[in-house]
Amino acid sequence: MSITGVLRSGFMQLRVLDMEKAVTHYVKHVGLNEVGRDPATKRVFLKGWDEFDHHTLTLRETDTAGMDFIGFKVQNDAYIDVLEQKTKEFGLNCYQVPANSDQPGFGRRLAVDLPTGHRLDFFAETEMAAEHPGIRNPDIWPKEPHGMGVSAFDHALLYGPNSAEAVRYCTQVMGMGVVEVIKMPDGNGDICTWLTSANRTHDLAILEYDKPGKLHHVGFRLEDWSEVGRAADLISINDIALDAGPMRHGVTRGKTIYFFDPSGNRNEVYSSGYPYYPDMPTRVWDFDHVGKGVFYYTRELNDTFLSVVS
Amino acid sequence: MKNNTEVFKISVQGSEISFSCGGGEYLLAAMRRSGRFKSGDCRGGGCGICKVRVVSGAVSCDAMSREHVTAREEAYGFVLACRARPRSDLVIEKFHF
Repeated sequence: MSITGVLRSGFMQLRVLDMEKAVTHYVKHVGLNEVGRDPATKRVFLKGWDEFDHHTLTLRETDTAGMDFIGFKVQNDAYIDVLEQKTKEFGLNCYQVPANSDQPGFGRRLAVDLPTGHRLDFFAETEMAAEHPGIRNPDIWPKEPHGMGVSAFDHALLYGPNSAEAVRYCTQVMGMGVVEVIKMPDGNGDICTWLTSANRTHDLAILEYDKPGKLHHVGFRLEDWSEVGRAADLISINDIALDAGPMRHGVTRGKTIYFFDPSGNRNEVYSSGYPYYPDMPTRVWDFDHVGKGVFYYTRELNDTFLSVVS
Repeated sequence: MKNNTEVFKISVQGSEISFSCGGGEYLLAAMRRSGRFKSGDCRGGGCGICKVRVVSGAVSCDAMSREHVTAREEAYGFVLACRARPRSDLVIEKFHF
């Protein structure tokens, strides 16, 4: 087993404006399962059917949309100390969050302030979810998926300034691989970078943007094209705000559809993407090919992709 | 819902422009139908792109991100059109999207 250190992105706390509408969206339509609630802090804990961790998405009702933090699972508790030391040496602010404090079922975490204005948490231990995938002679599902039937938290695209410095942190401290990049219009540097902790096409993507701490989208996993098509059906049936798709990306080759939650946070449900290995070269898109890189079939960016964030 | 069948007149201040908006309909949908709102947006009160000022008339608003409409701005009539439904005829400020 050679995946060590930082294993995967697998957690987010997301701000919503109306919890009742948000739960209908994420549970009934997107297909996550509710794990628990904390009325005192107006939060609801959710997970996908194919996840072992206690929960992987926390919704927090407040008066702004966007993300509070994204979480990465690491190989063991001791590795949090390694990351703390490396993060301090790199020069970013970080602090520990005690076990079972704000997130039930979670061990201690290390919170890091990225130069893009986002908070990134490392965690190693969570309680096993009460409803988890089978382990011994497992059936394919613990229970039949519902709604779009997303199986797991997949990735996020973050928008913020100093993206090159954040990417340097992801590669040097977190050990991530750079899978694909889109070059700046003038060819100097990258406007967007796709990063992986293991061999998925991305755990995280970061785009250079003037406003700090912005969320472009949070992505959830589907199995294949037919599930993306079914998600598209449910988006129309339930009058969910569609952004783009169903379509394929040139970048990652993912099959996908984008839409908005009732608070204006963009969601993606995504499948496929090629397997990445650390010996592979980074695939490079010139800015004049960005349309095909993002919207492979129409080959043109739509009018929301670069401008609408939460 | 009450007012669902009512239709209100939305006038753009300082212009001859007006269009209609149903009482159960969000202002943004009517702005888009009028052909004068062409930007993409989140339709959920989170991105702030459809911010517009209601000069006169009554609206009822769902939750809007305070990042984009502060309490002070709301007091001056600013709304996110995707979260605001008319409760009377409205006059809104010119908008450019």
